[in-house]
Amino acid sequence: MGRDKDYILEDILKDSESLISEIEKIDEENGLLPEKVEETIKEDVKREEMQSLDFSTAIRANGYVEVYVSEDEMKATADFYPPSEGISDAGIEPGKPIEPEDVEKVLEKKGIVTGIDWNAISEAIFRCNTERTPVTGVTIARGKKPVDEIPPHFEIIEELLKSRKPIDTDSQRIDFKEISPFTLVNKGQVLARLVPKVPGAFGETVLGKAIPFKKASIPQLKPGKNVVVEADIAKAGCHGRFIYTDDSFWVSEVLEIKSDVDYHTGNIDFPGDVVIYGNVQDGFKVRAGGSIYCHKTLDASEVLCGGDLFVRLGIIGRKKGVVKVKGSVEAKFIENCYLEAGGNISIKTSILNSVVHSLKRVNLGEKGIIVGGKVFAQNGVEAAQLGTRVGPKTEIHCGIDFTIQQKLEWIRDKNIELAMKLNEIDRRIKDASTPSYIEKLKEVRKKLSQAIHKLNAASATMVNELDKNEEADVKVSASVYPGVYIEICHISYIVNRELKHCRFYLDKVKGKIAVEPLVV
Amino acid sequence: MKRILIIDDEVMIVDAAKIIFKDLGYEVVGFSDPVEGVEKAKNEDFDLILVDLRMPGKNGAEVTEEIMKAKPDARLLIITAYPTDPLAKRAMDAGAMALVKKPFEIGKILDFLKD
Repeated sequence: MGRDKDYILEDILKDSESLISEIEKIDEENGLLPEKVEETIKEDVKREEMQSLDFSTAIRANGYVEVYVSEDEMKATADFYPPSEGISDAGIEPGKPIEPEDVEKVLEKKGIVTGIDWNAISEAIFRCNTERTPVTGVTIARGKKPVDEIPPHFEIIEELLKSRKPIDTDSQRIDFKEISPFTLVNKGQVLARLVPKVPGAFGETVLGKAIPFKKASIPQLKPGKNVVVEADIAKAGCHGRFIYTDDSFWVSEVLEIKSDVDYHTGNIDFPGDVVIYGNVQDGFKVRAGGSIYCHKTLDASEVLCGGDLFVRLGIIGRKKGVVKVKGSVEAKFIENCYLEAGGNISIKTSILNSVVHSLKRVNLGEKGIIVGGKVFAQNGVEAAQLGTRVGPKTEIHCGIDFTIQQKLEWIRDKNIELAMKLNEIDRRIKDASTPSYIEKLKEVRKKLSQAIHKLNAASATMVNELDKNEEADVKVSASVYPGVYIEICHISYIVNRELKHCRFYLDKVKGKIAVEPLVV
Repeated sequence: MKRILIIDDEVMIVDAAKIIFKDLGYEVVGFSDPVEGVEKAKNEDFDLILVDLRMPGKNGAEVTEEIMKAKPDARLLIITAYPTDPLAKRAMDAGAMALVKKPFEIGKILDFLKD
C-alpha cells in the first residue's frame, strides 16, 4: 500500500515539477507565455470549438423562414432554412420541416397582405425541406403599382406616321417623294382614332397601403382644318396634304395641275398647296395660300406663295417677274427675277441678274454662283463664286431685315416728296401778298410738317427694329471678283482684287468688314 | 444737337434732307458746291458727313480724300446710285465708312448717328 502511496506521490511530484517548470518560463513582465504553451492553448481551443460544432449539429433544429420587406414596401423576400437531419445513434430526431402555416404566421406578423406569391413560397418550402439546403432571396410578395389615368386623345394612324409612299405617276397621281417630303390623303381617309379614357387605378404596397395614381401626360392632338370627326374617328375632309404637329393635325388642300400653267388653266389662285407638273408660262400668275411645287420651270410673272416654294428647274423672271414667298425657296437657278422670301433661299447653280431677298440665309450649291444683281440676306450668303472677271456688278447686303429697310425707303421717298412740297410752299409764302392766301399756305405748310414729323417718328422706331444680325457673314468657297460690293450691317466693302476661299464678316471692334480664310 | 453736313450738287435733295433731318432733331448744313462743302468740313466739326459721289467740279472721292486728310476722324458716308462705281472704291479707300444709296437711306444714316 505504502509503495503504492509512494508511487502515486512520485507521479504527483513529477507532474507538479513539470507544471512548475512550465509556469516558471512565463515572462511575467511582458505577459508572454512560453511558445510551447501558446501552441498548446491554440490546440485546446481548436479542439474545443470543433467539439462544440459537432455538438451543435447534433441538436434538433426545426426548419424556419425569415422575411424581409423592401424600403419602398413594394417587395417582400424570404430566406428558407431547412430542418436538422437528426442523428439516430445519438437519439436526436430530425427537425420539423417548414410548413406553409409557418410562413403564414411570419407574413401575418410582418403585416404582409398584398401580392403574396404562394407558388413561389410552396416551391421554396419544398426545395428547402427536401434538399435540406437554405433557399434564400425568394420574392414572396410584390406590391401593385398604380395605373396612370389616360385621358381621351387622338392617335394618328401608324400608316401616316411612316415614311411617305411614292404615288404612281403613271396613273396621273403625284409622286410626292420626287418633289417634297409630304403625305397625301384622300377625302374620307382615316387620319386618327380617338382613344377613350382609361381610368387610373390605385396601387398597393405589400403591407396593404394604397398608392395614388397619376394622370398620364399624353399629347392632346386637336383635329384642325379639313378634318371631320365622326364617332371617334377623324377623317380627311378633302383630298390634300396631311400635316401634323405636336398639338394638331390637319389636311392642307392641294391643287394639282397636270399640265403647264397657260391659257388652258388661266391664272392660278388657290388657298392651299399647288402642285404644277409642267411649266408656268410667261405672263401667268400663281397665287397659293400654301406651298407651291413646280416640276419644271417657273416662268414667273407674279408668284405669291404663303408657304414654301420648290422649283425643280429654275425661276425665270425676264426682268419683270416678281416672286414673293413667306417660307423658304428651293430651285436650281434664278435669273432676271425679283424674289423675296421669309425663309432660306437654296439655289443649286446660279443667281443671275436678280434681286433676291431673304430674312434668313441665301445658300448656293458647291458650284453655285451669284453674278449681277443684288442679294439681301439677313443672316448671310454662301456661294462658290461672287461676280465675274468682266461681268455685271454684284451686290451682297447682309445683316438687315429687308422688310424694314423697304419700309424705310418708302418713308424716305414720301418724306422727300413732302419736303419738296414744303419748300415750294415756303417759296410761295415769300412771294404771296394776300393775307388770306398766305394763311392758307401756312395751313398747308403746317400739315406737311406734321406729316414729315409723323413719318420721321415712324422711321426712328423702325431703325431700332432693323433687327441687325452682326453675326451675318459671306462665305465664298471659290472666288470673289473685283467690283463685288459687300455690305454687312450697313458697313460697306468693295472687293478690289480676286480673293479665294474667304469669309467676310463684321469686325465689331473696328466697325469694318474683315476678310479671313474660309475654314471648311 | 448732332450736326450733319450734306454735300450734293442736287439742291432739291439737299433741301429735302435738311427738312427731314432737322425734324428728326439734327442740325443740317447743306452745300451743292463741293468746294464750299469741303471748306466747311475742314473748318467745323460734324457728327456725320454725307458726300455725293458724282458731282461736277469735284467728285465724291476727291472730296473724301480732302476731308479725311484734314479730319482723319471724320465719319463720312458716300451717296451713290451705283455701289460698284470705281470712284466709290476710291472714296472707301480714302476713309468713307459706307455707301448710301441715292438719294439717301434714312435707316443707314440714323444708324450711323446712333451713339
